[in-house]
Amino acid sequence: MVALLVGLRFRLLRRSLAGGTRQRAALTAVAIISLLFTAPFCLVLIVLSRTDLVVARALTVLIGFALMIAWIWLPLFLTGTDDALSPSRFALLPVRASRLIPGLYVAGLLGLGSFLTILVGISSVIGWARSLPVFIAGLAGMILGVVTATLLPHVLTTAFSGALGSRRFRDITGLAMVVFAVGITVVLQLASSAISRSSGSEAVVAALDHAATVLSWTPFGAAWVLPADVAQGDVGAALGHGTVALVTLGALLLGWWAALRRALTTPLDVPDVVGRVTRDSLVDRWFSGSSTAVVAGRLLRYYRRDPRRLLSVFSMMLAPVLVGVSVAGVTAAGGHAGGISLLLVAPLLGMLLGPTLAFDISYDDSALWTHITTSVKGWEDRLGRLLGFSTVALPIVTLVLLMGVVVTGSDHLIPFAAATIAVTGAALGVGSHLGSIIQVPVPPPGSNPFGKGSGGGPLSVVVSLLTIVLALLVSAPAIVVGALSYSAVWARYAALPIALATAGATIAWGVVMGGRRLDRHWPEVLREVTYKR
Amino acid sequence: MGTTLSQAGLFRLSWRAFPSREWEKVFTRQGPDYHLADGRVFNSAVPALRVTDLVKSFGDKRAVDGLSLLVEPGSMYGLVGPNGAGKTTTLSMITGLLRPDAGNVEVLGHDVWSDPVAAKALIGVLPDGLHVFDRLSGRELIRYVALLRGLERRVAETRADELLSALGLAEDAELLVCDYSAGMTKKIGLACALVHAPRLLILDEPFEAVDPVSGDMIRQILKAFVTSGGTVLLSSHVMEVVEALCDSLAVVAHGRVQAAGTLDDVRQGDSLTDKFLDLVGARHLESESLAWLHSS
Repeated sequence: MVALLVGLRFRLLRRSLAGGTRQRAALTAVAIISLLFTAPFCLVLIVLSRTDLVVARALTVLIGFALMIAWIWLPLFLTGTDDALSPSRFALLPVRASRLIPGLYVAGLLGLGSFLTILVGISSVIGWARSLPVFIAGLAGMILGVVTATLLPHVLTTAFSGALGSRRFRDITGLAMVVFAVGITVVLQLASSAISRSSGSEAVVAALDHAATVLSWTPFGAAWVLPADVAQGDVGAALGHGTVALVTLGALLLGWWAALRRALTTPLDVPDVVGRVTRDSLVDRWFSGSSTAVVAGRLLRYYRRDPRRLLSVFSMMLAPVLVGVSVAGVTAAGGHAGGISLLLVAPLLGMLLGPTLAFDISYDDSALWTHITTSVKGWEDRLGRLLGFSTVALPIVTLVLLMGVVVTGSDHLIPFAAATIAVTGAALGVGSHLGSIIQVPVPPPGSNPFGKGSGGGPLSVVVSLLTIVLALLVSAPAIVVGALSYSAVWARYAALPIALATAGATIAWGVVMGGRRLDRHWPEVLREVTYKR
Repeated sequence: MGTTLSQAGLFRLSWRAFPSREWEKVFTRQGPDYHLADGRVFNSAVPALRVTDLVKSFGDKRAVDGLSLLVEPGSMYGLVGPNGAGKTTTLSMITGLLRPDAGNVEVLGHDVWSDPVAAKALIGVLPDGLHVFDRLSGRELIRYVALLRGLERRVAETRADELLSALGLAEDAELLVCDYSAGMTKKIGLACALVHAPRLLILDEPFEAVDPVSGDMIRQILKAFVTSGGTVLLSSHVMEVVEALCDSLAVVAHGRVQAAGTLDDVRQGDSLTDKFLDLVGARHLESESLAWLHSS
């Protein structure tokens, strides 16, 4: 069974590598980017062998913990179309969950993420090669940590696969995501304010040490602290941490087994009956003047009814919640809320709108044929999507901007409003144009919105980065003038007009050029967005 | 029957919507002969649909290999062929959803690929195997298509109502299309294809997954449509459907037309199924193969 599944995975990987220059280029780019991102962490872990024990312990735990979090979060965002090894595919075959688990696990290890995780793990083992007992503890901790990390996405996706798409599940995940993200943000804010208040490197080390001690007793930190425990000669702590790590691993395995067993017997998604919709809604009355308006109106409906799009709205709405909660948290802890990090949320959010808009056409899947046979013009499609999306997104961005300015002080209004307007407009324009050129594979309609895999992942990362870089380039003048407005009076008057002008120009460019591109290439675009079974 | 009345109302609208001079063009049978590459000659000024030497390859495979069709106005034309014959590929190229490697498609004199807006305005399409915007309710979907077709909001809403009741979907009009059964989805697709009163209906497997009651309803609607001067091109691999409904047909295999003409021309006294197997090349199961399937 293991050999069979690994062979299948190998064949799929080979086929995805052979699948066109664009796909290969995207994969290579993502591999290089993620290697460049991981390498510093590996170097830090290796160099740790020469540093102080306390620092080494703190950094190992923090990096290890971050790795686990990455394994929870990244699969949620790197959505793709490769569900060849999804459990429901095996539902018709007479196999038991316990027979599938080893094969699915090993097959899942064949991927960039697992490779990088093992790289980080090996680096930590090298870093802790201080003496034989410490080395052995490091090796054990690394194996426990890497296996736990790579198990996480299996458990999550299998547990989700049964009930995914059902309404209650979506509400619960949405809530869980909010709670989780809020927790992390509050911790980060508290940590950063603690570090910034304390002076001197000793205080920083103390803060890191404190954080590591807390995290080492959590399921995701326990494995990584083992070598440090042994090096410090603290056998009791080592036993305790080892137990936490082992129990975590066992619980994950048990959870996966139970979820897989359920997924094998209830393979089909629970039908998500939304029930009847109301006739003659506001959308009908307000969005029916032209093709553009009609497309925008449909988009508005889809942001409520399409789980995949709902997920992106959810994550947008996280931003104001995070800002609010972290301000409240920091204030409650006696700190002073505010600062640049709070103000940056609005332009960052605006920047992220670009990729989301670029991906939107892919979510239509083959239903896009309706736009082609009804002769919707390219610019109407582009502008309709942009308007529908903006109706949802722009109020959120505005809210976040105003929250930041109110908390931090009104003299930040002009520079950050300029930056937000310029970046948001540029992202929407670039997203409109890029979305007409490259269509990223996304999970098909009605499927698991967290559908993970290597299929569309690399390409979506590349398109996102491209959108963001281009948007930043276009909005750079407005950002610079905005920054100058702190000191120069002319800039105070020029910043907003410049921002509005670049935003408007980029949007016009994106709609017109993207529309022309669609008009010339509708059939090809239809083929690209159609989910390949 | 209430449904028949509303159907008639629907198609009367279409007569008025279409300028009478256009109709003269459609029904005047004069003009040059058309010589196709396979030697056939057509004489018709403006056929409802003229497909000339269509070619489409996917990689090494030639899905459509020099296919030509001529569909007279007012006919119910069947496109039959085995699985993989190239029916869907052909229909996709006719409707502007797939770019042909070579060949022409003309709808009532308008080239689909050089004059797409005029051609597409005349066609109503029901594809097979493509999604619809299924997070809209049935009514919202018809309305969406109607408004994109450029209909007035009031007209769109009236026609949506009429189509929903004509197709027996009035009760489920407010249900999301993703919760529809396969047959209901087919029917809502047909409603979307009809809503702008097209002159040419192109239907890919319109009867697949449709129960007998709904199937009969669809047949009635299509007959009324043809009687009022519309033209239907439908694909099917069920010979009985085509034999009972269509007046002309083309048998397609290996991406080419194997035989075309009126029903009687093609049948030549045989049943359509026998003739079809004859044309396509029937295969017989050898007596020894799959012997392990026989229990006992």
